[in-house]
Formats: sequence, structure tokens, C-alpha cells
Amino acid sequence: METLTEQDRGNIGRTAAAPVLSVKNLQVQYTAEIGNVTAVDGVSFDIGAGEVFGLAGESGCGKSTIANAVMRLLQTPAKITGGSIELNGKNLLDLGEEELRRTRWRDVAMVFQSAMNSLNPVMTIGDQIVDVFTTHERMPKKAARERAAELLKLVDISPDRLKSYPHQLSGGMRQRAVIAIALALKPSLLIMDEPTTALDVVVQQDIMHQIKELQQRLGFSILFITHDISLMVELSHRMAVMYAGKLVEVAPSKDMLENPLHPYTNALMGAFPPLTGPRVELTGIPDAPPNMAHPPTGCRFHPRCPLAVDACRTVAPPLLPKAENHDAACLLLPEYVVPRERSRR
Amino acid sequence: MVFLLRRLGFYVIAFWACITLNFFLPRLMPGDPVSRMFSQVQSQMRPDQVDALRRLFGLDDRPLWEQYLAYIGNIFRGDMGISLSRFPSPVSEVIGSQIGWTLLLGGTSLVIAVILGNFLGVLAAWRRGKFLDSVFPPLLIFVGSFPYFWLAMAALYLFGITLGWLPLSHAFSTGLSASFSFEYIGDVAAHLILPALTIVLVSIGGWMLGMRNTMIATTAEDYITMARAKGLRPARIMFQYAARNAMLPSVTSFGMSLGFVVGGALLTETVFAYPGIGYQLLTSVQALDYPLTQGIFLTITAAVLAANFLVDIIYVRLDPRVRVS
Repeated sequence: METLTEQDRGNIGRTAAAPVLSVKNLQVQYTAEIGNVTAVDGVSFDIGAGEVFGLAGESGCGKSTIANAVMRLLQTPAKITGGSIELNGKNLLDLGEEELRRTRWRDVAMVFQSAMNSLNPVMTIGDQIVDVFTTHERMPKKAARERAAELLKLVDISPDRLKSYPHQLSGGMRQRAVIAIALALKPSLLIMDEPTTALDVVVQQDIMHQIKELQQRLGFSILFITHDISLMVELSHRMAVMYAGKLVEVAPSKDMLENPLHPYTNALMGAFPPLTGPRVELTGIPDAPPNMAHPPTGCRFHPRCPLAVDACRTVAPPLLPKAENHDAACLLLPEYVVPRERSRR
Repeated sequence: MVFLLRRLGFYVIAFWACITLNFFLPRLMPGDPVSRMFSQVQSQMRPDQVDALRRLFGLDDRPLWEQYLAYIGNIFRGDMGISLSRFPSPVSEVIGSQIGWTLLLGGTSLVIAVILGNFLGVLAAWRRGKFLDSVFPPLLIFVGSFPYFWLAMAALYLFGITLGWLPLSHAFSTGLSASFSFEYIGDVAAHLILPALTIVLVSIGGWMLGMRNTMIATTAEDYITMARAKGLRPARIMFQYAARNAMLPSVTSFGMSLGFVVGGALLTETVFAYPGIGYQLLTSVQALDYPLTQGIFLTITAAVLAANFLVDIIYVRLDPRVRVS
């Protein structure tokens, strides 16, 4: 246990079974005029079967880039420059165009940030579900329509809506329809990139409950991306906090909420109002996120960190266990030593 | 349906406005057609003849509103008066004899240019920066920037005279009479190739570029990313998701152009001595043939309005968002 490699760092607290998704040392670069920007820099994490894994962080920290990298949807100027993404033991980075096309949606599906715009405005909802079946399963149209009707029922939309166009549905309905489309082929992993940002809070709650319920019923894994920490803690079993292209802390969500270790996570938690409990003063994080073309040396958070010491300016802290099932990347935290008599789960 | 009826109402009002303008404008100009005829025949007309002619052209001494009502009545009976330059043929007959050729030439070249141009635009945008995208748009814009008559004459010289593959002028060979025979249709088609080809050449670049640009904007939409994530086949994404949305502005331009087809293609008709409305309009203006000029204008207006209405109907089929409200 003491000989964990750097790549295993994201695995803390996960069950022993083979992971559904295993991202190792992922590096993504954007080619820009100001120079190459490394948006994701050596990120590793695993997601187990039936696990909901959250990824939190400020805008521009690389969350969505990871989501798009897993779907292999990155387009120039973005490029995966290192690492591996294994889905059910298959490295997605090795797949050719045609193999990739067959893998998408069947093994991993995605719910995009803007449901408003992720449906084709000139096709009915039904046709947009049916084309998943006819493409991936060579299913006759009629059978596909029946399956589409069942899917809509799954997300509490009346099957009459198969004939509706996206503009005839409300925002919440559209997002639910997108979720239905995502679940069409029963993927083992569902990526949700800020699935409810465009919706009002009430609808947001509805949809999150529905996702939770479906996840428990169907048992798929979720990679859940948001900057809304309270939403994330509610839904995910384990979560990672990302800052400037790197994971800074990985822990079970409850631990992360109650006992954040990394100064950045601490600051992030302080910036959100708790939904219940006593009234607390909110604190912001001073300064702006770093310019990713020239990220700070050493720990990338040091210019904004209230606790930074000289060493933080030069030494990049690795992600290491700092408490039981709890990894963080900070020089100031003492390393966690596994007690002899207890072995890790 | 309600939408279409409202549009129809709009077009009826627009058409009425056109008829009214068409009636008043010439009457606000100094002189009248009969005085012109009178001077043309070097004043060798008796007063009663002049009077008869005035009545024939509806230029009697009735009050203006009576003339106006009579004019509208005539229009709906398809009576647009008598042509002066081709006296005594009625205007409707003169237009009728030309409009078929105009529609054939304009319609054929427009449809080919639109289909081919849009298709090239879709492909160019889909494979942005690749061969088709970097070579075709500049080339076609270059060709399209030639003075049309120069391009037409060059084509005529090359294919008509030097190579002798295609006929030089007119819409069909002299001596052939209109029939549904293979010979006649083939002959008309052979005469059509050069004029249509030159029009397609100069107009296709615009269609391609327009489609390419809309298509590039469309491929950045989230529903295209989602379609790619869904693992759909590239051809399906390109046509059903991207092009299907990107074609909407193109359909509007197509409708506009379709209406103006009726106006004829003056330069083409001149270079290839092809019968058509464009040349007719030119001669009627030169001859101060008011009734014919008015008749042609009215036909063009009606065609533009009809084409727009047609586009509205197509649009309702193509874009479900228009159907509401």
C-alpha cells in the first residue's frame, strides 16, 4: 500500500473491482498563438462500476476538456498529448475513427451543458432517439420508435412528445429528453458536463433527483462535472477538485465537504453558502485564475494561497494521501501513514 | 396554416400596391403613347383615328379613378393592353411568347447553380481547409468576376466556333417546329447548354460561398457535437444535422432569385440571341412602349411575390420553428 505509484493516486477509496473508466496521466494541449496551453496536465483518476464521480473547479480549469477528451470529441486546436483513457479495459486513444464511432454512446454517453442547443432544431425528439438505435443496433424503425417511447417514459415525458420538436418543449423537458437519449444504449458510463446550469433551481433539483434515481436503478457510472459544490456533494460518491489543469484533491464527497485539506478546496467551500445550518460569512478567493499559457511555477495555486511558503513557488506538489482515503496535492500537509493494523479498503 | 394565410394576405396587399404604382407612374409622366405613335407615323393620322387609339389604350377622358378600376379589371382578365412597338399584338401575347424560354433558361441554370453550389459549399465546410475548400471558392469567385459578356463570348467562341460542338444562337434550329419529339427536345437542350452553362459558372461561386459560411457556423453548434458524440455516421451528421439547418438561409435566397428569373437574363439573351423577357424589356423601354414595359414589370412583380410565397410554404416544411405563433 505504501508503494502506490503516482498514477494510482486517483483511486483512493474506490472498490477493488476493475474500474469502468481509468484515466492515467492525461495531458491535453491547446495550440494557440500565445504558445501551447496545457489545459489538462497529468490528470489520473478511476471511476468504479456504479460510482458517481464528481469533478469540481473554477471555469477554465480543464473540467470540460477532460469530459471531451474521454468522449474523444476534442477538435483542433485541442489535442491529447499524453496519457491513456481506458474504458472497460479498452484504451480509447488507440481507437480508429470507425471503432470510435461504434464505441461512442454504446459504452459512454454524454449529457451536454446546454440542453437548449444540443438537440437538432429541425428534427423531432423521436427521430433524434431513433437514429441512435438505427445507427448502433440496425433496428427497424418501428421497433426503434417503441424503444424511444419507453425511454421518454423513463424520464417522465409522455410518449406523445416523440413527435414534438425541441422548441416545443420546456428547458427542463429538453434536458430530460437529452438524458433519455443518453441512456438509450445503456452505456456503462455517463458523462454529465454541468447538466443543469441552464435551468432554474427547482427544475434543477427535479432533474438531479431523477438522475440519482435512474443511476441507482440502472447502475451506470457517472462522471459528473460542475462548479456547484453543494449539488456535487449531494449526488456523487467521490469527488475531485481541479485547479489550473491538475487535480488538487480527491476524496469521498462527504469527507471533502466536512474536512477539506487543500487550501484551494477550503477556499472553494468557503465561497459557497451551505444550504442548511447556521448563517456563515462567505469568503471569495482573491485574485483571478492563472493564465494557462504561463502557469505559475511550483504549486499553481501559490499566488492566491494564503498559506504559501517559499517552497511552494518552486516545488510542484504531487497528489499524495494526506488522510485515510483522502489525497491532496499540497506541500504543507503531512503525508498520511497507513496504520499497521488497518489495511485500506 | 394560419401562418400561410397571413402571408398570403400580405402578398395580396403587396400585389395590389404594385398594380397601383404600375397604373399611376406612367400617367404621372409627361406625354402619352398615342402622341408618340402619332409622331412616329409623321402625324399622318386623322383626329378620329387618334381618338380611337386613345380609347384602345384606355387613355380616354374618363376620370382617373374610373380608369383605375377599369385597369384593375383588365389585369384580372389578363388584358394588359396593346404593345406599341409590336402593334397590334396584345402585351399578354408578346410576354407569353417569350416567357417560356426565359423560364426554361433561367430556371434550369438557377436550379443547377443552387444544387451544385450548395452541395460544394456543404462539402467545403465539412472538410474545412482541405483541397475542395481552399481551391474552389477562390476559383469560382475568380470566374464569377469576369465580365459576363466576355465569358459568354469566350465560351461561344470555344465551344460554338472553334470546336463546333454546340449551336451558336437561338433557342432551337430553324425549320424545326415545336413538338414532343426526341429530335426537337434534344435540339432545344443543345441550344440551352451554352447559355445555361455560362450563367451557372458566374453564379455558382456565390451559392457555394454562402452555403460554406453558414455551414461552418452550423458545425460549431452544440447539436453537431452531440450528434458526433452519439456515434452517428459522418454522412448523416453532415446532411441531416448540419446541412439541413444551414440550408435555411439558402432557401430564402433561392426564392428571391427564382422570382427574378422571370425578369430574364439580358446579357445572355443578347450574346446567344436567345429569346426571352430580358431582351424584350430592353427593346420596349427603348421604343417607349409603355404598355409592354408595364406588362413586363407587372409580370416580374407577380413572379417575385409568387416565388416568395412558395418559399414561405417550403420554409414551413423545412423549419418547424416557423410553424408556431
